This record gives sequence, C-alpha cells and structure tokens, in this order.
Amino acid sequence: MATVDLPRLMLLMVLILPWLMLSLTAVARFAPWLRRALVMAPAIGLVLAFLPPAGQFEMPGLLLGSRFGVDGVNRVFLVVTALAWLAASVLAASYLLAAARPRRFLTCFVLAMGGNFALVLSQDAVSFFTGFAVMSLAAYGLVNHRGDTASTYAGRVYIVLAIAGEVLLFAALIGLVHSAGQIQFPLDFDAPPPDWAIACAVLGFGVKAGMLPLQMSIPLSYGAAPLAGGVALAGAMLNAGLLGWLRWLPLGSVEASAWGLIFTGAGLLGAAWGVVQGVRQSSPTALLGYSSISQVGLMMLFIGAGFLAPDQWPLFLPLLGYFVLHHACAKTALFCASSGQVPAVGPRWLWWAVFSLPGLALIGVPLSSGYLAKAGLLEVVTAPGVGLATLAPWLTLATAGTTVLMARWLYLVIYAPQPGTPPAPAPWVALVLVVLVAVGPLVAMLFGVAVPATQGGLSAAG
Amino acid sequence: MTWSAALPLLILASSLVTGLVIFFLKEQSVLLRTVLNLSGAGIKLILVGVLMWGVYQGQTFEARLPLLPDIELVLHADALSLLFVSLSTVLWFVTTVYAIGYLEHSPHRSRFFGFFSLCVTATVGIALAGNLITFLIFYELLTLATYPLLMHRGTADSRRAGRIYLTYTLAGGALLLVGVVWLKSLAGPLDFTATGILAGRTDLNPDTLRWIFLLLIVGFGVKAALVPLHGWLPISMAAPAPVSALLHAVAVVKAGAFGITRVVYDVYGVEFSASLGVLMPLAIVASFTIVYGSVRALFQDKLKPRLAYSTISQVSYIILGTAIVGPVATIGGIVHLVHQGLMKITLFFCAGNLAETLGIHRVSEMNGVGRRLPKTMVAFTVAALGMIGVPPIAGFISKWYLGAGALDANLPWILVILAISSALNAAYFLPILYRAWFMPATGAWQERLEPGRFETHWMLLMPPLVTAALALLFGLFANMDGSPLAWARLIAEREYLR
Repeated sequence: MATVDLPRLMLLMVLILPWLMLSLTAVARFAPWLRRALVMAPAIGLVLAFLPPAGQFEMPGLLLGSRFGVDGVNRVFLVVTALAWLAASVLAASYLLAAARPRRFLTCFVLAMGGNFALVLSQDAVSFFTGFAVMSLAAYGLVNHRGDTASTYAGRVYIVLAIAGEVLLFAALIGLVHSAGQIQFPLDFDAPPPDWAIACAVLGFGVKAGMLPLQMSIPLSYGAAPLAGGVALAGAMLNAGLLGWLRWLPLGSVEASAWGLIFTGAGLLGAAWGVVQGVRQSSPTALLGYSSISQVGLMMLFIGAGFLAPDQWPLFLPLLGYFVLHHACAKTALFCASSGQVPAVGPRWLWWAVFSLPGLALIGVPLSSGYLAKAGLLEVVTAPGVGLATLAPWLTLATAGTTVLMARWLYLVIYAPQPGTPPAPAPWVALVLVVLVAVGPLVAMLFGVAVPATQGGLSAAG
Repeated sequence: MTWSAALPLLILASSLVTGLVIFFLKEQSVLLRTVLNLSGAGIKLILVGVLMWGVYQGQTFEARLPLLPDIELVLHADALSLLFVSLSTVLWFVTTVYAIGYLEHSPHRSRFFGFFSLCVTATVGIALAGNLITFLIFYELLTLATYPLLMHRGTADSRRAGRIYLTYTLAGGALLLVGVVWLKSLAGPLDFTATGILAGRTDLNPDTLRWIFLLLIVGFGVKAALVPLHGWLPISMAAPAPVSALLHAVAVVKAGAFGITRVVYDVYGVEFSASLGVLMPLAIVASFTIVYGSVRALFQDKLKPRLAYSTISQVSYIILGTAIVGPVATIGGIVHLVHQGLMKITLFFCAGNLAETLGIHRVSEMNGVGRRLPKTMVAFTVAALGMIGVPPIAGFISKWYLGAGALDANLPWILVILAISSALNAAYFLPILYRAWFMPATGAWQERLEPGRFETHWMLLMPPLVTAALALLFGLFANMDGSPLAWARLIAEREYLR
C-alpha cells in the first residue's frame, strides 16, 4: 500500500466522513454537533480538488475491488460537487433548526452526500454505480421531506424514474463491463459495446441529468425539496448523470454517429423545451429546474460531438468540463439566492444586482464564466469532422432563451415570493455563497482545474 | 474413530443431543432450556469454526457409517457444504436467541425447541451429506421435524398449513426417493464429486438420465418452491415468526435449492447436465418463478405472505445461477444462498417484531412505524433494499454475478428477467419503506410488550440488527478474503476444474 500523504488522507476523509456522520445520527445528542459538521466533507473535498491529483487509492476488499482518486475527468466534478454540498450544508444547518423530522432529513442528506462523493471520486464502475444508487435513493428523502401533496407527488415521480434509471444502469453496467472486460475507468473497449448497453446507460443517466424525455422529475423535485436539498440536487446530483455518461460511454474510442445524432437531437430539444416550460413557472426553484434541463441540453451537444468525431474527444472534454463548472456554480448560486431575502443593510436594489450576477453568468455576458463556456461550445460544434456547424446560429437563440428565463427568475424571487418557501437561512450566508460561487470558475481556472477554451486550436482548423 | 471423522458427527450431535434432552424438560425449566439451547448453538458455532479452519489448512473431514449393505451414511466437508453449514449454524444461533425472546410467555416451549433443534440437525445433515442417500435421509428428517413447528400454534389455520405442507413435501420426497434409487441402481454409489459423478459416463442412456433428473428436480423443487410446486409456502405463514424465518432463510426452502445445486454440480456435473439439455428448461422454470413470485408479492397486503412470495422469487435466483453454465453464474447462484438467507431472515425477524410489539400484521398498518421502531425498521430497510439489489448490500453482488454469468453464457434475456425482478421488488418493498418512514402514524397500535430500555425486547431486536449488518458487510466488503463471495469463487473454481 502506498504511503498516506496529505491528498490521500483528504481523499479518504471525503469518502469516509459522511458515513461516519451517518452512524452518529443514531445518537440524538450528537445532532447539534452533526448539523454544524456537515460542511466538513465538502470543505475538504473542495481543497482536495485544488491540490495536484494524487493518483489512485486502492481498496481491494471493498465491493469488487474499489479504486478512488482524482483525475482529469472528475476533477471539475469534484469542484462543483464540493461547492454545491458546501452550500447545501450551510443551508441545511439552519434549516434543520426549525424543520420537522430533522433526523430523517439529516440521514438522507448525509447518505446522498456520501454517495455523491463516492461516485465522483470512484475510479471503477461498480463503486460508481454504488455511490450513484445510494445517492439517488437517499435523495428521495430530500425531495419529499415536507410531505405535503405537492412534494409527495414530486417524490413519487422522482422515485419511479430513479428506480427505472437504476434498473437500466444495472443492465448497462453488466453489458458495458462485460464488453470492456474490466471495471476500472477508463473502460477500455476493444470492440464497440452492444447498442442495448449504451442505450441503457444513456437513458439511466439521462434520468438524473434531465435528458428529454426523462426530465419530469427535475423541476418537480427542485420545487418540492427544501432549499438545502434543492441546492444539492441542482448543483451536485444533476452532474452525477453527466459524469456517468463521460465515465461509462465509449467516448473517444468508438465512432457512433447514430448516438452522436441522438445526443445532439435530444440536447437541442431539451435546450428549447427547458426555456419554453421554464418561463411558465411560478416557483423560482422549479424554474431553475427547467433551466437545468435547458443547460444540460447544451452540454449534451459536447457528447454528441464526441460520438461524431471521436478523435477530437480529448479536446472536447476539457471544454465540457469548463461548461459543467460554470453551470453548476451559477446554478448553486441561483438556488442560494432563491429564498428571496436580502440583507437588511443598504439599498435593496444593490443586493439584487449582486444576486443577479450568477444569472448574468448563465446568460453568458462578456467577462463571465458563461461567455467562456459558450465560446467553448461554439468551438466544439464548429470543429472539423463534427459536422454540426449549421447549429452555430441557433446557439444565439439559446442565449436569448436563457436571458428570458433569468429575467423571469429575478422577477419571481423579488416580486412573487412563494407561500411555501421554507424558512430561509440568514441572507448574509446566501450572499457569501453567491459571491463564492460566482468567482469559483475563475479560481478554478487560475489553478488549472478547468480550461475555458483551447487556444484557438479547434476553430483554426475549422 | 479419528478426529477427522468425529468432527462432522459432533457437529450433528451438538443440536441432536440438545434437541432430544429438551424434549424431556419440564415446561417451567426456562433457565435450563435456555442454557441448553444457547450452549448447543454456541458449541456448534465453535465446532464449525474448527471445521472451517481445518479445511482451510487442507485437512479433509469425512465420516462413513455403514447403513445398509452397499449403502453408507457419509458426512463430509467440502467447500459447498461448509458454506451451507456455516450459514445454518450462524443463523440458527441468532434465531435461537430470537425464538427465546419471541416465545417467552407461550406454551409448549419444550416441544418447540426440541423440534427446532431437530430441524437444525437435519439442515446441517443436509449440508454435510456426502452422498445422495445421506442427503435424502436428512431431507426427509427435515420434513418431519418442521411439520410440528409449522403447526406449533395448534390453530385451525396452522393445522391446515401443516397438512398442506406435509402433502406437498411427502409427495416430493417420494419422487425424490424413486429418482435416487433409480440412479443408484444404474450408476452405483452416489458420492458427491465436484465436476459430477455422471460426467463422462457414456454407458448410461441419456434419456433415462433426463427422466431421473426430472424426478430429482421435482423432488427438490417442492421445497425450493419452484412454480408450480410452491403452493404450500404462502400458506405456511401460519407458523410463528422464528419458524418462518428459519424456514425461508436456511432450513426448508434452502434445502431444496441446495439439493438442486448438488444434483447439477456434484451428481450430474454442470457441463454434462448442459450436454443433456436439461439446464435450459431449468433456467426457464427458475426465471418464470422469479417473475411470478414477485408479481404475486405485489398484491399481498399481509406482510408475511408478501415476504413469502418474495422468497419464492428470490430462491429461484439460486436455481437460476445453477442452471446457467459458467463459473460466473455459479458464483452468483451459490453466493445468493448466503445472501438471500441473511436478508430474508432479517425481514422475517422484523415482521415478527412488528407483530409481537405492536400487533401489526399488514402493510397497511405500518404507517409511521419507523418512528416507533426505528432500529427494527432500519434493519428491514437494509434487507429490503438488498432484495431489490441496491448496492452495496449483498443482494447486488448476487445479481451482478448472475447478470455477468448470463452474458458469459450468451443468454442476454436473463438480464431482462433480472431487471424486471428488480423493478418488481422495488414495487413491493419501497411502498413499505415509504409507509414506515414517510407517512404519519394513523391510529394507535396495540402495545403488547412492557416498555423497556429498547424499542422492543432486546432478544427480538438484536437478531435482525446482526443479520442486517452482515447482509450489508458481506456486500460492502465482498472482495475480502473469507467473505461468502470468496467462498463461492472457490467453489466455482473447483466445479469447473478440469
């Protein structure tokens, strides 16, 4: 066994802390302490993401031989997962003070967090699937915590789709691993895996990522969950579906134009549909759910391009990584600001100007992370060999759609506070989170965790 | 007599002697009976530990007693018998604890624990049986020992259950006897051999062997509750909870599945069975049973029948693993022998706790019960999720190997069966969890026990917590040395050794 240096120790702590806390939930007198300690695992995870990758940590006795570690694919996902859970933990700490059935919420929260970190850090398909399953099932407790009619309904839709997704993923797992002959990432396919296995993986992760037509549970659950749960769902768990696609699908090794077109088509459909449905919402968090569907649609274009031009996938992947980082940070911040409360100091309009920053980023105004992310998307669709250059003008339309959505969101949080809005955390906390999250992509860029765009390498060739 | 021959006999005697002594105890001698019960179970646990250690060191253990001219009673310890014997010994121990707590104030306890010990003796005999004749003898003994346990309560329902059980199992036993005698007359001694006794025997008529296979499978299939031979199982729910627990997890149902495993691997040999073309029909019957049991479970409001139909479905995973040719599927089937046992016994313990503590017998009465019996329901939740196949609980490991084995054998349709079964399992288990954890309690339960330190009597609470923890650990650390999976891999290696 390799020596335990600092990054490895931190990796281990991120993986184990949630389970340690889970076992402590059984003891009632730890509850106040646990509430405050929720931030520990995400905080360590965030620091870990900014350290140089430390290689793999093997746990041969675990499951069917597990490996965990940070690599070029999951590093960005670790940043956004840690950031979103950090925000969620801060919100949960105050939410739990007043919530009914706090222990149940805490248990589900910790379980979902533990599963999410396990899947992000996993370096083998079985550990990934395990973390994914634990996270998905535990998140039911976040979606249906309130237990009123709306959240019960949201919970039912969520769990039915989640179980369907799990069953599909189980089949996909068996089929893909059988074809690759190994469980370790990257799954190395000598021959193209069977199409049914790819289809199962696409649909199974599509449920989590909000791919059309499996997106039903996303806005429902975002709207129904308490804010702390919603942040985790939107900022962290949604991305688990994306990471699943990146980890499991034969991207970069197999040319499959059919899958490329399916991803592109479903992505465009989602991008449009999310806007159309989103503007009709009256709940700001449900609106954010539709916005996620729309943004995931854009991210699916990267994957579609990867299937169409597999030799360029190594260039596309970092661009997609930056898009994920940008979107998750903006979405986490938007969620934190969705309570509709601002600090009581100074003019309100100033606060709202600050709170609309992540919205502007999502639209992609110049100098924002969204601007860089969309530039990356444009590079990918116009790259040679992809053959999607005709889509370029349509991306402007997507930007217009996002603008409308964000305007509507701002209107909803300022003028139409929800009657069912849960007790909000201190507005200062929200503010800190918004700022932290807004600068997140910038910091990540500086540390080389995510690359916003190639130096014109792609577009020059196009 | 040498040590290697004495040990298997001692393992049998540890429960046989206890059982016989307990029959003659007065009803009031609670302490003596408890001491006897627990020390019998404890001694067996230690002896099995010694046996495992010995086998690990490369010793062979075998006892041969002449029974009839040309027929011997053979007890031996191979990897497969060790797996089953350790499962039944561990689960016997926890079930004994549970049963002592469960029957604290009920009548006829000496009769109960006497037959209970005999039942375990028979199960251990089945596990250690070294040839088909010995297997048959203990298999029939099991029928006779469980019958009084089923009818223990003496109500009209339980008498009817006992009658139906006896009809089914005696008929099955008769067919089995015919099959065994027929095979013995053709093939000579039937000592179990990894890779099979009949493999490579070209002198026997394949059609005859197919008929005998059918007789043996039907004989074992009754206890294993293969559809359409399963009719007795849901009715037998009239039995007390510890009996149901043991019945579904190790004793009766498992004995049938174990018998099928023995026939396919150690009598016919898996590759020879495949060449006879008898495995595909078996796989189809098992698959049908898996789906049928789950569908029927969906429509049961009473908790125990829901669990019973679930057993019908889950035990066929073992048979399915046996019927798919290839080491990977073999691992899946064999490891499920242990995994299903742990998960199902947990569920039955919990069902017993609900009934004994709060008088809950129906799923519809379980609203909000998670707040009243949190530890019991945590154990139930772990076991139920394991049944669905949610990782990291043990059931997932079984399904993983079954699925991978199906693809190895080029039978992708089995993956569809597994997927349907998982979805159905979710459909009948998740609503229970939803009621327990997410619905408010409706109405008051009948509190049946004196309030104590724990949510229920500690002897009722500890067993499900232990078995649920094992179900979780055996899945989470499946790849560790000494896990059921490691044993199953060893067994599969030997079955396919050429």
